[in-house]
Amino acid sequence: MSDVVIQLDHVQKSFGDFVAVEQADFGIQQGEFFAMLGPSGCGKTTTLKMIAGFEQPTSGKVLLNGVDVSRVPPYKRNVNTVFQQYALFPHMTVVDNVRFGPKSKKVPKSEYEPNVAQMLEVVRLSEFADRKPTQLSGGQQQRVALARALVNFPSALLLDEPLAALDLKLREAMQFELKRIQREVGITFVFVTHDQGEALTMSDRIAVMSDGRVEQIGTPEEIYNSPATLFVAGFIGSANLLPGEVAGTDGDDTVVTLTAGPTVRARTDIIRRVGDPVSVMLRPERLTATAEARADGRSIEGTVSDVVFQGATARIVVHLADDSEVIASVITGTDLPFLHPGSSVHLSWDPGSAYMLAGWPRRPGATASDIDTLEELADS
Amino acid sequence: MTTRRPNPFTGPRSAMTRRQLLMRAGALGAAGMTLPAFLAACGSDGGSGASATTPGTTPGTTPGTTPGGGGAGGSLFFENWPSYIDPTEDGATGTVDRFKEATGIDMRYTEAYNDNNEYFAKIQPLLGRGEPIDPDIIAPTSWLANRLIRLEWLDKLPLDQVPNAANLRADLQNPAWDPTGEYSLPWQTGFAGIAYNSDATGREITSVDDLFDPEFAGKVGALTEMRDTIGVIAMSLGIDISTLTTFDEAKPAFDKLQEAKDSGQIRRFHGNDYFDDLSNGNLAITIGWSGDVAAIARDNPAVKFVFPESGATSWADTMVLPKGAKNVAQAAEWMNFVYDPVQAAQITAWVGYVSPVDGVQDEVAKLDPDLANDPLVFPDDATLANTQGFAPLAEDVEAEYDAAFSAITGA
Amino acid sequence: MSSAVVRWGVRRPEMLGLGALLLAGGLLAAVGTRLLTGPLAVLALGTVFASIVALVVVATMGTPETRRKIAPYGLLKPGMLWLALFYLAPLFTLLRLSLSTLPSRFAVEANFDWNFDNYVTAFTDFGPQFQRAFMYSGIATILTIAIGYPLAYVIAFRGGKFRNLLLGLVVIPFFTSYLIRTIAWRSILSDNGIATGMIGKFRLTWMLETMGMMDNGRLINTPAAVIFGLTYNFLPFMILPIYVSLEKVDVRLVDAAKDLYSTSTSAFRKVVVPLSLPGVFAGTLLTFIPAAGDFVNALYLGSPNTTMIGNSIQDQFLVQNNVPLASAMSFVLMLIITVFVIIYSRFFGTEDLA
Repeated sequence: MSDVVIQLDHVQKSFGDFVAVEQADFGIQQGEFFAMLGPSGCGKTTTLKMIAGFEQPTSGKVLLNGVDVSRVPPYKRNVNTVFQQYALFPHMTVVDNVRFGPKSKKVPKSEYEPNVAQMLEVVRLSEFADRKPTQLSGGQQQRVALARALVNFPSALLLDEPLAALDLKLREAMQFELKRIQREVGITFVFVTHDQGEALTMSDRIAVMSDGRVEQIGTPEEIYNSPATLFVAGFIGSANLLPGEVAGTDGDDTVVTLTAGPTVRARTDIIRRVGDPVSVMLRPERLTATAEARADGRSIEGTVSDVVFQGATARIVVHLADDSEVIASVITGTDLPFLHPGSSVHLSWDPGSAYMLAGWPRRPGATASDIDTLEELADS
Repeated sequence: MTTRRPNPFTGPRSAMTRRQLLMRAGALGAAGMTLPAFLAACGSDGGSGASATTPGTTPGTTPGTTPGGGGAGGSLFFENWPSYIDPTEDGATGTVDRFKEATGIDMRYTEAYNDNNEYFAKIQPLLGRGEPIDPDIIAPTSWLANRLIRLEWLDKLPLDQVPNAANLRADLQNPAWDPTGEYSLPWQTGFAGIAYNSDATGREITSVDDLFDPEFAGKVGALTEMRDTIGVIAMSLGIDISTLTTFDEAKPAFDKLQEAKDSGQIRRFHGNDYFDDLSNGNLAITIGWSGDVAAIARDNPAVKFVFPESGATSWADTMVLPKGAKNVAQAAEWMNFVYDPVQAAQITAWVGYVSPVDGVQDEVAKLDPDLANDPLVFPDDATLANTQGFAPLAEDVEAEYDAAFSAITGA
Repeated sequence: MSSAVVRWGVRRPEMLGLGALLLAGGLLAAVGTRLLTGPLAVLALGTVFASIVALVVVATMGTPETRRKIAPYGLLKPGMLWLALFYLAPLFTLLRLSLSTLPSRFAVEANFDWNFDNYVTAFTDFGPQFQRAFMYSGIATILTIAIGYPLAYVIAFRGGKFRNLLLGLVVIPFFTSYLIRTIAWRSILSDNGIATGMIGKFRLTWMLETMGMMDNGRLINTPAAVIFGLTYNFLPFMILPIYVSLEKVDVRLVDAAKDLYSTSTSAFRKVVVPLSLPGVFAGTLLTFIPAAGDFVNALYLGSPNTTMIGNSIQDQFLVQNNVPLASAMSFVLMLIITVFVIIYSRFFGTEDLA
């Protein structure tokens, strides 16, 4: 795991005055499933294009297996891309699409033919070898694109939103399929997506990007449980971000006085002095609803404003004293008679579930997108 | 595909106007082969220019009542070549309008007659089946008039109603193409001889032999009108073209032309679209028509027309009645009108061709003395004596001539 | 009787529709070729009309299912009748004429007598004109591809917001008559014209002379001028279809090819060119076919030694009045072109393109 395949060395990319990628500086390991995650326009695709060779960095270096390839054209780089709409050659059969790379590289036919057959086997398309891409379904086209790239045994496979064109069901199936293929071939996958669920499900490590900057790099668990910034906390999964001030410490935990009133204890990786503005992140699924308060600084009080039943769980929206809203995901089935709009409720959590970050959120409480999603669910 | 382009030249007309007319006539001739509709549109447009205007009221240009005239009424349709009559413009009343005013006949005058072969192809399906065509008078060139007479596709002219027919030039009476003189009256006549650009030749030209001078190789042209090109060459070889009856008699002329074409001496065969080529020196020397060349010469004095020593061909465009023409009496009135030297002089002063009507020279002298002394418009007897008309050819002989000529022009 | 037809028609509407279509087409073609004349023609036209009425009656009386089955034949009818009257009938008439003999030169009706001499003459007497026609139009077609393809490529891929403007400029010459444009080139190519002047200025005359493009320092009235005229006049017919096919090519395919170890050149060759072949194919047909039958360029820009078969056909029709021979020549031209198109589409067929 220590072999670095791709190294970005202080890479900067500007288009005129616009900085698309700012000081990207990280490495991707051999055999890793690496995701670059962020909203559209965050610079993740530009970064991918710089690795592929379609864009060149304004400053900094891109190293491939330790060699500086910043000015090397795509066709001389040993990486391959699966394009967003697959970009399969419509005038060639499936097998000719797959042969395209080795043929261009002037690999002897006797050498590449077994690989071509093997790759079609891996993506389970052997019986479709002589079809034209237009005669295949979206998922099949996707797998052709994979085979076409993988048959070259690249140092890394770059995937640009590979699942975006598929419908939901197929997307989920393809997530596992991609993982399976990656395990089978053992090639480094660098994967660009705006879908955090996809990134969390599939990746070994994730780089979360925003406005051209890399906000955090880490395993899905690290990113989910210990987000480095408010943006990461809000972008990955659902989060309630409650503003407050550092009041002191209690063992490993920090004591925070929330703007909403109560004083709570939170785990943290940052060093803050008393009085610093901080936010406490509470994941909705880590909250439990109780009628009474917990004395150890692991609960807050509010009023239920909405309840959305979701089967095994119900999501409740709780109004806090400072008018912010918090979402909690509670297990149904237990008798929670007080959970109806207007009733008072205490939300509590286990030790280690509250995490403290620097700074105040733009909007306290649950992130806006979570509220919207909830409303959509309530409508449907 | 030949268009004999009547030439609009008179003193007072500006060079620009003449130039435009030349350009237009060229374009019309060109379009004629492929786009008859486009052509017809342009042609009738020109025709309306000549006829639709309100008759002027200048008594000086409107001569007195003509014999046989006087409000007979009815209608008449004459289809003629483009730019072949004086239009109503610049305060002068055109011949058509003067005629309408004098007779009260509702005359329709169009300029859709662009090419003898094309026009023949157009009327053949109708006249060939004995069905009438719309125009009452059409204007075939003499050889085509002869063909139509032989095919019996024409009606005899009501010459008893055309007293002015007595003014027909003596040399045009009972012509070879119409031996009895019953079917046609010439509209205008002219000559084919040698046209050249003295800047390009560097010397004056007098002889047909100069066409074959290697010095001008690749800068020589000839008319696509078989009778004019072959006629001029044959005369230079001492062949009498007015008596030809077989192909063999004219064969030396064809051979000579073939040789010149094969050697690259002849650059192209042209209809009326040779003015630019001649004027800018693409062609140094060619076989051309007298009236045309006189018009170009006004712009470019280097361009000259010469009656070759061996003689020029003479031709005539005629007025004939296609079989079944409806308005015969009105047609007679028209012919009578334009055979009045006073009226004919107006036409001659505008088109600049040789009038078939006696007495025109005196009338033109009153209008434009320079023109009256132009030997191309009023050739002297010696010149006329040195011109020949092409003999009418029997159908199968004509086919032989046409095929041989086409083989040379490359078609 | 008629009600029986209607009842049968209601049972088998598609057969009725097909029958009515074929009957009407056949009758109309027969009238068009004058196989049926006079009262018979009137009767035939009446039958055509009646078949249409019958279809409408069956359709309105029938169930929605009947109507659904008849509808395609109803919709096909105008096109089919049009073809029968204005394509099949003239084609047949032309074929018949080409096998006829004129009793006399200016006769209106030719006698149909299986006169294959016309074809013999067409082949033997007009060899050079046929050769020139196919040579000139072939070279002109290759030149239009050579000039038109890069132009279409630039417009499609580099045109940006000027795309429509550039396309407009390609089409602008069409606003002037074909003939006028061709005639205009005469003064440009003339001995003292701009083109010759430029060539002289840059001392290229000797080069073009060696290439056979010029003749004694002249451009006009040479084969080169005719080929040039054809190239110029048919260029837009090549550019537009190529543009259309290039415009549909996804530029990401080029990225994909480069990603798969192709240089820009080989990406163009292996991806862009194959995908634009339908445009080249269409452009070639649109250029070569009319250019092979063209006579305007040879007439105005050529000399007696550069005439093409179109000039000969025109001469036979209008000057020689030999309509049967002209018809035979037209047919031979058509046949050669058809054979060419069949062979050509075998090699560059579009059937396997998405």
